[in-house]
Amino acid sequence: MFKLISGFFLGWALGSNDAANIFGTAVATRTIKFWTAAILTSVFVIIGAVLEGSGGIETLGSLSSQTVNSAFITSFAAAITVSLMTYLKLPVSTSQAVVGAIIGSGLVRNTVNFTPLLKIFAAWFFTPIGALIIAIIFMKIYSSYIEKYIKNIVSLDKMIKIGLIIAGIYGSYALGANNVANVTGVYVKTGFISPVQGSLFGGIAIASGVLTYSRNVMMTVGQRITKLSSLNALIAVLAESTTVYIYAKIGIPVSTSQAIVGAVIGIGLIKGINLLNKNTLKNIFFGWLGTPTIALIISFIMTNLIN
Amino acid sequence: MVGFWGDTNKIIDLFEEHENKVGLCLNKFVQTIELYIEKGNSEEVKKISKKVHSLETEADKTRRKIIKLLIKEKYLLPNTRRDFLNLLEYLDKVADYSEAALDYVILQNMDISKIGKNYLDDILSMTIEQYKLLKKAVKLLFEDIDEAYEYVAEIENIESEIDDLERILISRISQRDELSYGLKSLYRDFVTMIANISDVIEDAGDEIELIIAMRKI
Repeated sequence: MFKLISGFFLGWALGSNDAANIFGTAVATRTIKFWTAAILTSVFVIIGAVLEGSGGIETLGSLSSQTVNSAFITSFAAAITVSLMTYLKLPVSTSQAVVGAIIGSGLVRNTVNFTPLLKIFAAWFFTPIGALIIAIIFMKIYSSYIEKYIKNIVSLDKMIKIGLIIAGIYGSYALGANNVANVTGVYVKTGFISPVQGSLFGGIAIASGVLTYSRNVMMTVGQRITKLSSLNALIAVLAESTTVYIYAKIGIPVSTSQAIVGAVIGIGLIKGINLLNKNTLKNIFFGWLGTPTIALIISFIMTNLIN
Repeated sequence: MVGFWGDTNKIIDLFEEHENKVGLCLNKFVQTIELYIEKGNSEEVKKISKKVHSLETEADKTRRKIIKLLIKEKYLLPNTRRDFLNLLEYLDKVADYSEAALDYVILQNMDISKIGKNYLDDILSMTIEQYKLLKKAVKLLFEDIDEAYEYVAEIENIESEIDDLERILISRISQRDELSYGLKSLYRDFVTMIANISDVIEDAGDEIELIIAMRKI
């Protein structure tokens, strides 16, 4: 069981970072209390992971064969990458770190299957773009249909409050379904644990990060998203959750951070604000190229050292 | 409606109560000024002016009740609570400014009959009209925000007209050689104080505009 520790560490880091993209808005605006958000996220991350996490586990498993040792090193390298980049305040995506780490370890052992990579890269590329398009569609639907029926402030506030909670639950479920593969996908491939055990263990690991270390990130990210307005923030979270859920269905783990960035840019486009600046583009490209490269190098070095 | 969210009608009722008290205070202020122009600083004026003070105090009490309710109730988003507090502040200032203008004229024991009665009457009646529009706009925030938007535009138009009247009146006061510099200064300040009521009504209208804009896609 000791070998699972690096997976747990990775899941913890993922939970502490990514919960902010889901309930950050609601918590930062004090629409719901942190503990309510943390408990809801934890419960629905686990449910999502157990019920629909198998697709992503299969995809990551198909990238390279694994032994228990290589799975340990891969998860450890990804976890170190995520922690290092968080410490250096660089944009980070666990999904991209894990793929880089799997390739790094697989290169040393000569076990990399490059075929699924194209599908994975395409998914990464289309995550922010997809969230952008979905956000625009949601905005159009809202302005064409819902806005006409909710015309007073009190009803509007109630709708936003309920909406933020539902979107948060949906996002937590999607996060669990989509990202649990990052945590235990490599272990399941070894046969060390079953897919159901992997999903449950991964879900619990993510939940532990949410419960113990996500408050500050939630406040920071939430305040950034809510600069738009509560209504637009709700649409951003819904668009992000939908995008991540679509990729859970396809079976490719993607970045929730990039999805929320895409959604916010989409909302900006509709409102006539250009939120796509050099810095945002730099962060997205770094997520696509920098994160997997760093994880690949760390994993490559560690596998070589241990071998 | 009392339910999971609490009594949502209570906030609407309290806002209406506050608006009515501020409106009564404004009307009483106008009535007192008209009487002052006619009869000067008489006992009758002093008696009615007390009513202006008591209405202002009552409006203030209702404002505090609203603040308590906004803090306690859970159905409004924190941003909305902040917006409503700002709006409430502006609404309350209508009563504050009315009271302050009346105090100014009574304490200075000014003869305002020579300022230009027609202009003053116009400014005061337009201010009352403007406040009626503001009341409707606030009510519509709880019914139909799109319609509230139209009233805000009307409020701005009236403020602009009052501004023009204020400028003309001040310019006329300045050109009158029979008035001493000190009296001109007192008259100018009084006219400005009266026009400030319209400004603060416009500020409340702007706040409503902001509330609506932030809730639109």
